[in-house]
Amino acid sequence: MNRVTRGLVSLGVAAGLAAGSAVLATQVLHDRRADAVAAQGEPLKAEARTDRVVNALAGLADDGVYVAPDARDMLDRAGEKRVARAVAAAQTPVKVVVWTDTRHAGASGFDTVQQLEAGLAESGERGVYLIWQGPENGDINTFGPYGYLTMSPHDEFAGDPSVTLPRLVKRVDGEVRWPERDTESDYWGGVSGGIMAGALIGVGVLLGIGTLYGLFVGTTKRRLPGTWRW
Amino acid sequence: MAVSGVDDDFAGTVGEIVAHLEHDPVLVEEVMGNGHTEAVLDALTAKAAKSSVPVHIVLTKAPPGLTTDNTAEELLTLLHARSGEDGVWFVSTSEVGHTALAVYGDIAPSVDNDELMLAGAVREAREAATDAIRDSCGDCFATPVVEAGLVLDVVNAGLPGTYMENPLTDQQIEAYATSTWQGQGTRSPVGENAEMPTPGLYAVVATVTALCVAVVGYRLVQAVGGVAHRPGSGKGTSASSRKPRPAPDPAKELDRARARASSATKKLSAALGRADDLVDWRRRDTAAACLERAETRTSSDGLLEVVGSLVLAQTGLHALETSEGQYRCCYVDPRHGAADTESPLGGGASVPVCRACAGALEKGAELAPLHEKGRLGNRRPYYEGSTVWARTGFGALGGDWWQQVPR
Repeated sequence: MNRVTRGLVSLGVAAGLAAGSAVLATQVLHDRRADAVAAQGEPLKAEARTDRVVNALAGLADDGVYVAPDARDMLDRAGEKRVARAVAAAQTPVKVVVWTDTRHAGASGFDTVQQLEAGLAESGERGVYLIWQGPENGDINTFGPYGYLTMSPHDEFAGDPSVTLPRLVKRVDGEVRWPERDTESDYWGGVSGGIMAGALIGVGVLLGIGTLYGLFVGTTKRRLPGTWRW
Repeated sequence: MAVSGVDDDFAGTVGEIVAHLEHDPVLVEEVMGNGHTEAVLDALTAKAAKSSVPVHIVLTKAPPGLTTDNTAEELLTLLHARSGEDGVWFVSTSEVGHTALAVYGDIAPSVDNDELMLAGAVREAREAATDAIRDSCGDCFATPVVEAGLVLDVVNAGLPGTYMENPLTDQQIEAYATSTWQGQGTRSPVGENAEMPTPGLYAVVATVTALCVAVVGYRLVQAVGGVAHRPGSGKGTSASSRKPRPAPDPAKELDRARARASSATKKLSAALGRADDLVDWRRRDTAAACLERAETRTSSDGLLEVVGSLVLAQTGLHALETSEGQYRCCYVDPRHGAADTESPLGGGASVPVCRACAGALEKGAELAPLHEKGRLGNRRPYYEGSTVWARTGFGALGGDWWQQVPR
């Protein structure tokens, strides 16, 4: 085998290895992220919901207000009707849940709220939910894609919920923001940016490998057979 | 709106709870139902039905108007006082999940302190249940519904005679290590949000991988069957000649060198005696200086000294015999004889070498230099040392080098 053939074979093998490993690496990246996304969604699936969340979602379906049986001492039927009227008047879909703060309804407080939010977002619409658990205790947030609002339960949840909740519901339209989220946003700046960044990082990695090899040669006085050149 | 029917059933006051207990010994509300209120209620009701003594299980939100921090204990006292019912009472209240256990009346005539024994047994059983739950789920814990079930299990199993004894079987304990009974910490991601990779990230990963694998892979493929390198040398050489030559016997080497040195020194001595005024006094002077230094060294035990004696004698003879130049030996090993040519020996410096060494240098083959013993017993070429011979190259580097050699 003459030198040119040999060099071409080296180039060909290296290119093949490079292409194969790149495909493999992206495949591994894809699979690992897919697993992570799936694992993340697991606790928020419909089957994982507590009966408390299931009942709340069912109760919210018609007029957007749900008062849990244990929370009737916080908001009576008359108060509930006032909240329902405010919800009907709001342009933003608003869901109001009144229930007792508890650590023993089958999920942590955070998980319970996340389950409720996931259930509300299932319809595909977006809106705002308020969860009243007591003064300064509860949650105000958006459901559905990419919204935020500036109200916080710590500041806003005070007084009689039959007065406070309708007032807060009326303010929702003015407080909620639905920013246009650039779904194409890419930290690496798309494929071309990614290739350039990858080349830069790759050169850094190769410098590291070269340094390690240099140290190896320096200490053991042994070198790889063959040369770079054909 | 409220889910139909459920709303008005909620026992929100002490009186309503007592009224519920009159026809049903178990009350589990959603607020304390561990997410599986129906299943828990059914299981506890079945256990309560098996009890031979009156039992009262209440898991609910504390009614408004209670005044102490431990609402479970307070509610239990109020419920018992209102109903006047003896037997086993277990109450747990949201939001903290306080639990309270009490026994009124004598539920086990053979046991002296029913309440203490029951509480001890339940506490032990609860520890065992917690262990069983943790075995399968590190983030899980025993909930008030587990404790309610354990109270009924212990009552049904019969109070143990000794304090802090768990009367339940492993099977009974392990039945609580399921999602119906056990509680679990937060499962949904807090703060972090896994997303599928962007095209840019794919490109980064693919480029880094491809670049590194291509470069490293190319060099490794080039190495397969490639020409090997001598350790510490920049030049390639064939794989077959890599094995270092065996070191010659040092004693023989020294004897041989001594014989050559002695004969050369004698020759110089004789030549110097014969030399008359026809020879330039400067050349005679050089020969005498070399002889003086050579004679003292022929009997030395150091190979370098003996070789030095040989080269000094040859230098002296050369000085007497011809007026042109001075004797230059092969830099690599003076025993090779006079240098025939000059060759680069690395570092850009050219040195006089014999023909054989010049050929080896050109081919990149291994050299066979004169060795000296290093401080650690290792062998190294003399020119890597710091002797006067290394500095002068046995005269190969020129100059009135013999003057540097001590007498």
